[in-house]
Amino acid sequence: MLHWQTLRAFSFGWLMLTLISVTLLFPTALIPLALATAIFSALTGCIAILACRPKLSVISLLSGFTLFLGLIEVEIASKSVENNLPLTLLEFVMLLFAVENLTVTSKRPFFIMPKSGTQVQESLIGTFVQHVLRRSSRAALLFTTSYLISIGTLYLSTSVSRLQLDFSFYVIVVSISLALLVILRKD
Amino acid sequence: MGITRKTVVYLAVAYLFIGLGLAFKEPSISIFVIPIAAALLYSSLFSIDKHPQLDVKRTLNPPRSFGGESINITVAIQNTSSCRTDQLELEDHVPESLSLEAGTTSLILSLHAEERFEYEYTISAPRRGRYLLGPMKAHIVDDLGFSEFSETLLGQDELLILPKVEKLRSMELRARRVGPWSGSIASRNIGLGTEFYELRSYSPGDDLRRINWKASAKRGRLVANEFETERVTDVMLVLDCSEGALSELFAYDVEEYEVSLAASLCSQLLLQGNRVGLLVYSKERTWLAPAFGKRQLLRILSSLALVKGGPSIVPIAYAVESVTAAVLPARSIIVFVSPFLGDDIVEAVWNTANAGYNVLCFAPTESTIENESRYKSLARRILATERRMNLRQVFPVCRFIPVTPEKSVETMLRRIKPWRSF
Repeated sequence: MLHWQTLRAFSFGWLMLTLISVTLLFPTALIPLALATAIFSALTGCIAILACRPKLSVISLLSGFTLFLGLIEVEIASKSVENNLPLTLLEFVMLLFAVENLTVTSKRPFFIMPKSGTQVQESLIGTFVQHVLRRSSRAALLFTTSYLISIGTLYLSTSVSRLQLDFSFYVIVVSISLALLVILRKD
Repeated sequence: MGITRKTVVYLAVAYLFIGLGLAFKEPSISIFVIPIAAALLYSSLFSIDKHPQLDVKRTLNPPRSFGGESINITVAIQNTSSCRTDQLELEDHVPESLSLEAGTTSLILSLHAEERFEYEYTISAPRRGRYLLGPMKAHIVDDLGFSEFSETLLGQDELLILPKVEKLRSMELRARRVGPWSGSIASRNIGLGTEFYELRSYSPGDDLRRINWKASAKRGRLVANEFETERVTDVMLVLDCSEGALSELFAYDVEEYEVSLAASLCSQLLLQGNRVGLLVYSKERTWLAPAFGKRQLLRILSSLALVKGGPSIVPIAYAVESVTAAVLPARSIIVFVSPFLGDDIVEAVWNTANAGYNVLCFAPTESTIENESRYKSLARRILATERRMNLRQVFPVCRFIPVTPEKSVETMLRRIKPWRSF
């Protein structure tokens, strides 16, 4: 039960963060539309985690993706990438988080919603809720950190020098290659 | 261990952003790579344990059943390694023909070192047959699902659902040929037994308990009772599950009913001490030579559990003749359990009767179905007529017992007393 409460609080926090960030960062003309999409995406995402419904996760992911595309379109229209980059980046990170949600919720949804007539041991449900909580919180922490690093890198590069941006670009390429090498390593 | 499709997609997206940054000469686009790179690095730093050491045991309760009861399966998993096994996804394969009543066959676990976890699931009363449960597969993915590892933890376990056995108490078998072993069948020979045979003059040395005091008083001399010895006989049960089992002449599942009837008859005959054999005539023909005891009963029930109705290539007359000639002594009893559809069955009964065997036939009775189309009704009537003609042809050489699921076999046997005819 405690895990469920934590999960609910976590979902509520995520919802609030989405709304505040969209309201603060989005261009004024498009705020109502973006707000509606963000609310919808965040709500469906929350319900998807709580009810372990993969379909809702997919809807959340699609609406998040639509918003992300909208932001890119705004950037293309304004012919400047850097104007709304923090917001676009935030939407991208949230999109990645929605993918994580989908992965978690698609794992054995019948733990929470058993098939007709079947009953599942309490301990198994508890284990699954723990699993959902652990994965969601780790993903949230990771993506928040990576967002902050990205924003930091962005502001640092614009405020200090062009050379540093090239350096950070180099760091990104090297880190992703390193990650790839580590993952593909043989047993 | 390998990478997942998700990893490939993420990497493709990351390199797409890098490519776009290079193409438009806008390095800030590459900022989008940071979250992906961070996720990949996190995943590689906290990678999964490649070979989880797990001790898994599956227990079936009961391992063998007579149907009509749920099967409880308990799975115990113990982490025998000294490190924690995280995000362990287990899936125990259950055949689609079995339905889950309670519990789950898949779960996600995290086990500490030396930790033991036990879970159970219940399968609702399965139909007669042999089922294989398992294998149990373990699937481990890391936190973000970038790398995975799969392994088969446990093999398959056999679950055998035997046919239902009805207790038949009123079977009094009379046979023309009896074996040398004592049993429950009156043999028409004088000796040790329980059934009274005749009176004779007392001879010195006779057991005093055998003296018939009433008869001695009447005759004025000592008279002793003679008893009929009770022996065992050989029985071969022929189960016909060929075309008839697939026929729509019967409103009930005639295959199941025949199998259950055969199981009940074999069980009772073996319980009475007889040697019983089995010949299953269906899509796959199987036979068991006559033998005694509980092991034979188990063998017969196991064979019956696997019976699947279907047309056979070989005629039943040939199948019966080839088996009985090899394993069954003459003048033994052959019991046919058949719907008596098709011409071959008549020939089989006649041939066995002519070979000197006592033949007893159990035939499920056809049922009437209401609200049926005209053509179906006509087809049913033709089949029923054909069946009646077959039965009429076998009447002179066998004893015939009509059976139906609506009445117990015991009641039918009590009414007809077929065994006494031999």
